Amino acid sequence: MTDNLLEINDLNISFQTFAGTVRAVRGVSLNLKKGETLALVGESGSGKSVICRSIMGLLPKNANINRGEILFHGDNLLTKSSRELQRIRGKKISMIFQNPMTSLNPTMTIGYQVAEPLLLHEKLHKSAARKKAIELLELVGIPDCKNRLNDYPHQFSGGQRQRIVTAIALACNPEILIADEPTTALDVTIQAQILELLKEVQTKVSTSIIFITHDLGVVANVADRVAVIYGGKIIEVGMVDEIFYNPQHPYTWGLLRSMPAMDAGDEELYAIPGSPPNLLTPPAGDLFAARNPYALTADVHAEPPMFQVSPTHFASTWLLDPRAPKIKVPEAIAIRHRYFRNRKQSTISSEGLKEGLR
Amino acid sequence: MKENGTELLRVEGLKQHFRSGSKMIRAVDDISFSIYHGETFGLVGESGCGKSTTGRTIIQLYQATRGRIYFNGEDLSKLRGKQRWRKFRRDVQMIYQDPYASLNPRNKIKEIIAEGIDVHGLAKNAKDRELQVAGLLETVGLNPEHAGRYPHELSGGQRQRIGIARALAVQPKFIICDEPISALDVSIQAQIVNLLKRLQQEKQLTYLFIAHDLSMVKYISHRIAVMYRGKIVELGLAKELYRYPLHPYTESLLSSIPYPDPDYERQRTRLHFQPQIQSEASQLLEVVPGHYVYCNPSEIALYQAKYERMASTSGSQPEPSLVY
Repeated sequence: MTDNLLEINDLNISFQTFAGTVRAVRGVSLNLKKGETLALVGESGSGKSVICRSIMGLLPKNANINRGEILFHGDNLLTKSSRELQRIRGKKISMIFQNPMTSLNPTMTIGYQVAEPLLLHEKLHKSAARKKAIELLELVGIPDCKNRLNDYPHQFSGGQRQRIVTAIALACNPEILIADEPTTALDVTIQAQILELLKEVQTKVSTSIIFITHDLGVVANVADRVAVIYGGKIIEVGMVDEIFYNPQHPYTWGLLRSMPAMDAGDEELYAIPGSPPNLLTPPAGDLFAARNPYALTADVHAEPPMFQVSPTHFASTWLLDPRAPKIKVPEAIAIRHRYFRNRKQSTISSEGLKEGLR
Repeated sequence: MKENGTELLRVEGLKQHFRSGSKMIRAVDDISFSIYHGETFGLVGESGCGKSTTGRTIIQLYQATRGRIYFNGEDLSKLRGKQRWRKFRRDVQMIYQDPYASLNPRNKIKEIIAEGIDVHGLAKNAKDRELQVAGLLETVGLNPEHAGRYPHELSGGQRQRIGIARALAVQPKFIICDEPISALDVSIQAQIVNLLKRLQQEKQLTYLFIAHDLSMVKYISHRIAVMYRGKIVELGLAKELYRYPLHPYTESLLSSIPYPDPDYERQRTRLHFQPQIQSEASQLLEVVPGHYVYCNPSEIALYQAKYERMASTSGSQPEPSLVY
């Protein structure tokens, strides 16, 4: 038993489709400590949602867990029966889904939907559950919630609906909250409110959060630790400062560079060339090699192992191998690396990158 | 770009009201602006502020409740005759937000792209039509062999490219991009934005770019208008607007954008916007040359002072003070 609340070891998941077997998750190992926020970053189809659904036991029927374990308090969730999982799901581990328009039931009042986990898991009496539901809706900032318990989802705005979904997820004080792109469908101002809400709730009830997103700005805002996923594999993992100021993997570089800088001129925006890999027939070697301008010959032959950068920072790229040739890091990334070194020697105040470099 | 360029589109006092039960929803409430040849005009604001309605009214999907829209100097409400409408529909095209919903799943890609070519009779014969489709696919960075496929066989980014190819098929002058990148991944967003910028240069296109993602809008637009509850609250050059946001709503929008910079994120403070009651006399007024703010004539001096203050300290956010 370690201090890890959740431990994923060598998880492999594949899907049976008409076209063949899709290897969606390939040997993912992760851990989550109490009270921390872990961000999973990657493109659509990289497997980040599949990992989270496997934790919740919500994989579709054609999914196959080939290998690996998911330890929650040292118990393997993958060997649990669906009855046992039902007692954990929604109580100890809960989830906020991407689209608040579709994750609420349009035919039930929100009062009932928020109270439902309390009735089922906490075995609360109806009136007590109702009272708790009002408290929860107050916590997530629904105005005048006492009088709105009997309203239906369509009577709320998108941001409010996402708050209601958050209230449901928080109803039983879960130990782990999985947020699957909770702000992608929302406006910036509403997004900021939801992020503030999650952070506030986290300090109040010390939940651990797994945050899935492809928006690096959001990651920088909420995460303590970041795992970058590409083609069903974790290619870089580290503390948030290490990923943003000392990134090692060319894919992480590409993601950081494709964000427009605050003071950008008219020069072309960097775009990662090509499209995500085909996991039906994955090519040999490193899956990112075909889109990687810094690919070495080694990448074509073998997938790189995880190289250690610091005690908390790992990256899977042959560039970190001692035999690898020195390459010229793109300027936008070199600036981040310099900032990281200076920051470490505390020769500068940690106020962020200069305007125009963000 | 260039206030002095020639005007392609002018919107004057546009109002678009919808009836919802007994209530009137003022989706667009008296807005005016011009778009010049070859520029990208960004329209930003939160959902429900009326930005998409504006775009749809311009392309005449809705009939304006009040106000005039001039395209190429012609008043659209006075446009008569099939030929002239056909010309207008050819000149103005639209790219939609959701590349999953805007392509007919039962048509092959070549049928989707060629629909406009057929309607306007732009192809001499079947061979020419095929060549045009292949050329368009290549223009948007796809393989001509994609022509025989169906939309479900393509990824989100590829579908959005189809949407762009379809709009380009009739050689338009003006394209309304209604949140064309919101549904895409960050790395794919960059590809589409670069493609739109390149096409603009090659084909002298004019864009109305509607979005809520402020960082990308700034990157692609020359001028930006910020909308709030059916009104334009601020309008100016993209760079200027971002550096010197004058209206409190613009300030609050800009302060909500998260940046990939953890140290900066830890100290960023979000400004909250308190909607005030606007007096009747409020309108979009020029505060500094080319920079308009929705306010009372008496408030102009206030905003000018604010501009001066910002220009001297450059920026409203605490400026990170690090030098290498």
